Parts: sequence; structure tokens; C-alpha cells
Amino acid sequence: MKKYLKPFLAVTAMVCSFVATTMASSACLLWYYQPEEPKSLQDR
Amino acid sequence: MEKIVGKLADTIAANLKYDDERRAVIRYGLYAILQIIITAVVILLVGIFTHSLLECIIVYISVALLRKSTGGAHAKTSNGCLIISIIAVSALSIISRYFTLLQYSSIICLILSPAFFMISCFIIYKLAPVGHENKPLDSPNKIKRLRKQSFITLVVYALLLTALLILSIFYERALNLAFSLGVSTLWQSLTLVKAVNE
Repeated sequence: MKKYLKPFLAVTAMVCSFVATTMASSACLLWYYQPEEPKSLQDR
Repeated sequence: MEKIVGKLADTIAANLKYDDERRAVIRYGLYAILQIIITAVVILLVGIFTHSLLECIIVYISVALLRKSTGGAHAKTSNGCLIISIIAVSALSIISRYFTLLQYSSIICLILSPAFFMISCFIIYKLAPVGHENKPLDSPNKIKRLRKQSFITLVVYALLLTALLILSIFYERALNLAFSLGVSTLWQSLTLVKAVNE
């Protein structure tokens, strides 16, 4: 089980990074609450 | 929800030995994924139980797509955001589904849907895109790109609205769908007014 944990977390991190970049490239998140945009994603 | 997202992001970042900036990106993406999934599931369930699934899908997608380029008002907390989003989308969908029970609803819809849409276009032309202190819009190129995206989205919605209104001659339900598109566009544009006033 532990063997698969790291690849699973790595895939999750990749998906999250992709979604975060997509969200940062538009004006806002889909809904109301606006979390602070990470510095590395600003102005893309 | 923010606490859960924070803990999950910490676990991923610690296991993969990521720095703070990458952890912030994971957290930002994770929050977006969870927010979209939870809102979509609850709204679909509301749609199934109230027999307004198509209206729910139209309101949810049309508001989301338009909001991506126009921006809009924001709740103070993530949980507040989740609750407001679900209530607003569900209410607009249910109203669109059942307003046809009113007398003269066809004429009302044929007048109101294009009227709502035109008011929305005017508000978006005047105000979009709207930034936020957590996501400021500083770059002129970005503002230009987002305005262009907003207008392209509006043109697509206008074509869809026209098609639905024509279709309503043969298929009564299309009138509800046209109305749902009109009210959702208006609602999204009104959140811009609120955001600007804040």
C-alpha cells in the first residue's frame, strides 16, 4: 500500500497544479470565494 | 473546507518534499477541484429531486463559464461561498423550471429572456473584468484578453438563446431553458455590480 502512496500523491499534485494554473489564467475561481493566488501563478 | 484542503496540501507537500510555493499551488488547485465537485454534485442532486436537471446544468455551466472571464463578487469564507453558490444556482433553476405555471408565461419569457440578456451585455461591457484583492488584475494585456473572452462567451450565449427561443415553438421545455440562460447571465452580471461597489 505504502508503495503506491508516493506515485498517487505525485499524480494528485500534478492534477492540482494543472487546475491551479487553469484557474489562475482566468479572472477568478468559478464561484464566490477567492483564495489568495500563489505568487508563481500570478499574471499568466 | 479550507482547513481540510490545507491539511491535504500539507500531506502531499511533505511527502513529496515540496517547498512553500509549490505547496500553495497544490492548495489552490485542490481547493478549486473540491469546490467544483461538491457544488456540481449538490446542484445535480437538487436538479434530480426538483425535476429541473436541465435548468440546473444550464445555470451552473453558463454562470461558471462567464465568471471565468468576467470575475465577480466574492464571499468572505469558503463555506459561505459554497452555500451561496448552491442556493443561488438551485433557486434560479427552480424558478426557470416552474415559472411556466404562471399565466402568460410564454409571452413573459419571450420578452424577459432577451431583455435580461441585453442588460447583462451592457453591465459586462461597462464593468468586466473585475479583480479581487487576492487576485488583482494589473496587466493591461490580461484585462484585454479577459474582456475579449467575455464577449466571445456572450456571443455564444446569444446564439444559444436565439436557438432555444426558436426551438420553443416546437418544444415547450426549450422556453424554460432559454429563461434559465437569461436569468443566469443577468445574475452573473449583477455580481459584477456588487463587486465593483465593494
